[in-house]
Amino acid sequence: MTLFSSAGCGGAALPDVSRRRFVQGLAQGLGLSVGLSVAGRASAATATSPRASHAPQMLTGPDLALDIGATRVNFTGRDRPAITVNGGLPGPTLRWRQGDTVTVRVTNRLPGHVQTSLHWHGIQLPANMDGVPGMSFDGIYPGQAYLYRFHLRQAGTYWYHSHSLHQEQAGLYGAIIVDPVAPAPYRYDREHVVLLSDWTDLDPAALYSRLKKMPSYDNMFRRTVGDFLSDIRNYGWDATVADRKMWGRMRMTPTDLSDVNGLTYTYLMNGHTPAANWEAGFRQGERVLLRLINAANMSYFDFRIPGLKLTVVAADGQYVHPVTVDELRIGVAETYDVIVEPVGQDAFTLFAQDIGRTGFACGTLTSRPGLRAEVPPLDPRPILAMKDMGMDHAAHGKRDRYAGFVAERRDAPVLKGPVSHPRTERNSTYVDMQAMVAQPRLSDPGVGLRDRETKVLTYADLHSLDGDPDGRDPGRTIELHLTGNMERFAWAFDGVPFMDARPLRFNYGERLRVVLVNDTMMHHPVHLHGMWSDLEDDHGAFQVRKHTVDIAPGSRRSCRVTADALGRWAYHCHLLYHMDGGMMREVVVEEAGR
Amino acid sequence: MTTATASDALAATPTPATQSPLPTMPGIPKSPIPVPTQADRAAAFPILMSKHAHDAPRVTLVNLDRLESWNDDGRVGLAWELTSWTGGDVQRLWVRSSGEREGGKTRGDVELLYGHAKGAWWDVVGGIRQDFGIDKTDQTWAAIGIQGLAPYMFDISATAYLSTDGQTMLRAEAEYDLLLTNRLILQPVAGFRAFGRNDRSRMQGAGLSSIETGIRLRYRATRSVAPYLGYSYERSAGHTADYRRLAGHDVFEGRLVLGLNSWF
Repeated sequence: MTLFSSAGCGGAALPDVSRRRFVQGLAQGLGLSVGLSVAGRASAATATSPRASHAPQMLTGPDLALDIGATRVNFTGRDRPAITVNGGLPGPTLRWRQGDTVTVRVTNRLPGHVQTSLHWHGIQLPANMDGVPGMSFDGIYPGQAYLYRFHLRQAGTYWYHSHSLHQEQAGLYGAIIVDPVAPAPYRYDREHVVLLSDWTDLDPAALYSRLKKMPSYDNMFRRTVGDFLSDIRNYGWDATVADRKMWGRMRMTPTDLSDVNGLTYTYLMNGHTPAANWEAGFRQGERVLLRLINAANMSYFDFRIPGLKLTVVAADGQYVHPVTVDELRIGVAETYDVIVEPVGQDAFTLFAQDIGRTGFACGTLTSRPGLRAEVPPLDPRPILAMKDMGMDHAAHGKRDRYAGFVAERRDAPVLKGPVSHPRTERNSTYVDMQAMVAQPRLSDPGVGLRDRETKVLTYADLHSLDGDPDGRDPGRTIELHLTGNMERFAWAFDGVPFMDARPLRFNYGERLRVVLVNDTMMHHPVHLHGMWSDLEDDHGAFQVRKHTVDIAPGSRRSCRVTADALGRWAYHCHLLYHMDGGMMREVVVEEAGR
Repeated sequence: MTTATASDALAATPTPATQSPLPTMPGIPKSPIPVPTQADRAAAFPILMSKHAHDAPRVTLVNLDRLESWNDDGRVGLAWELTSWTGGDVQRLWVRSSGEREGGKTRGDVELLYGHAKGAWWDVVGGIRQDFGIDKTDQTWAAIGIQGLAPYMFDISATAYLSTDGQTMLRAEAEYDLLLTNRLILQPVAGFRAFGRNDRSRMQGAGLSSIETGIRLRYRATRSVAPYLGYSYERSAGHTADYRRLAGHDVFEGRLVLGLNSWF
């Protein structure tokens, strides 16, 4: 129940012209044009007309060469350096066929001594091809190349990005399409990659440093005296005072939805700012497949196309039973394949607003170049509710962080009841709150989407087409708590940051359950490299196969994992500044007895 | 326009993929998990030159809490208060300083402290403090204290000191930010100072020595620079008040201040 006002709710006029310009980008905000030489500066191509909307270059075939280099870009009126693949931001879309063995020669052409890497997100492959420096390989040093080589057992929409410090934020990401051997269980006439990302003119290292010094820098939407008075008018003195007291006791604000928002970021759709208006073509009567990819560093998007319904046919590259919705929330690193049938209009707006409602990325699905449909206004800024804090009405008022419950219920498949917290959370600098009651809440659309009259996709709607690919019941359960300290911008699992933690150990071949409990009030997209995370439903049964699972604020979600990939794998929150801040673990999959 | 790709139009109707009709056998996966070869093992655990580098980078924050001036019957005064730290999430090195300059005379203090996080909200700090200025106020102290955010969003700082000549001191301060708007913030502050024993030459009276209150209205012109206007009131108490009266100084002092708050 979201009773209380958010600062400036509804009356959130966009601030001054300079900020609107920043959000929209230049009229020409193409950034850079495709096909630049890697060493070169942005050519006059940046002055092309806004109508020339390029899709990222596509590279097809099993033997590819990618160059990682530095390129100048201009999204906001300021000329800034970016890190690109073959000169493009996003990098080229790689198109492969299921069953092929692909080789990709990745060369580091960055200036200076900067190491780089590429990680193939969601692709099952040997550990030394996974692209994580320090776990898979040593990284790629300037002037050197690494020959990735792996066999593609799977098909679907995926993406790739750097796993070296701050490089993904600087532009090093791109799409992967693996065409299936067997025909897809759905028909479409045309397809487009829709890759969403967040761009900052700031040096990513400087942005991270800013987050460490002043984590609330972008939270210009805190509740004020005016909100207090208007809440009293609307909800009465008692309820308002109780609400403020609760948040004050927790030392938190309910308007803290994203660490970095549209005040810092310009949101891009296929490397285009809203003003540059990326265009996707269609003809009347066609079924169009949109491969949605969230390649952002820190931003969740709520995506919809006013006037069109979205039929979700795949999630994280894997087929699901089709479900038709009006809007979906795509977390960082997730992908959704949706089919739309554009009728009734010549052009439709592809609208992706950030969950904090501080900005948006957009493009146009159009039957003729140059058409634009109306861009909807940003929704009012949402505010967190008690369920997002891992509290319920019964618990409210009896705040005891180590609320009594006795034994750990290791074999309980049902994910209900009060939360038990690991001992390492006690007095940890990396824990500023704990969920007391945490449910999977798979049918909860999430903060900001709960009041929609239209249908919003939830995890409860996603069911793998093929059922449980492994079939076994999980042998054992591992529980990990997502913890953080907003004041210090320090993040961890179980109150222990990556640098202080021992690896998790899985036995090769086992089927285990990993329970993730969110002891923070933010969404965290958790990604396990090398293996699938099979999300379980409310009763602990297999539901949908994914590679990245959004753990909603104050929720508890569980996944089944088949440890069928030997090696050392990263397991981390894909809000990459959280990963950098410590929210990561190493998972070692080894043969028992070796 | 983007080049389109035709789909496999033959798949007109969605066909469910192969579903295993058999009940699942406990312990046996539907698709067999291959036994790793030596080559698989070598690929899984390559020998690396460098460990995974995800150490916390060192961060330095300088917080100019107050840089303010006032006009006291024609005499212009200037005061500062600064807090800075460098380090990681748990261990930090702190430098704190405060002081004022009035009538050509500057007096103040500098503290160098090692800080360790205690829980999520507090730092325990310990180190040394050096007073400087005129009128024999130069003293060197050992310091130990805490600072952080208390429930209900009060910024608290409390430090105890022991000087090289045996004097003890306690300083504590609390601040609160009341948001009139997201840019206009009203900040009340209250603090006190107490000493362990009398030191007439330094006008330090045993017990409660002074209390300070103030209210500052700051405007966040940018998110790191905020000019402010305020009123600051300081009152001596107990023996300290006696010493001051005997020396002909004011026992209480209220002044209008204009200043700047900034961080980087």
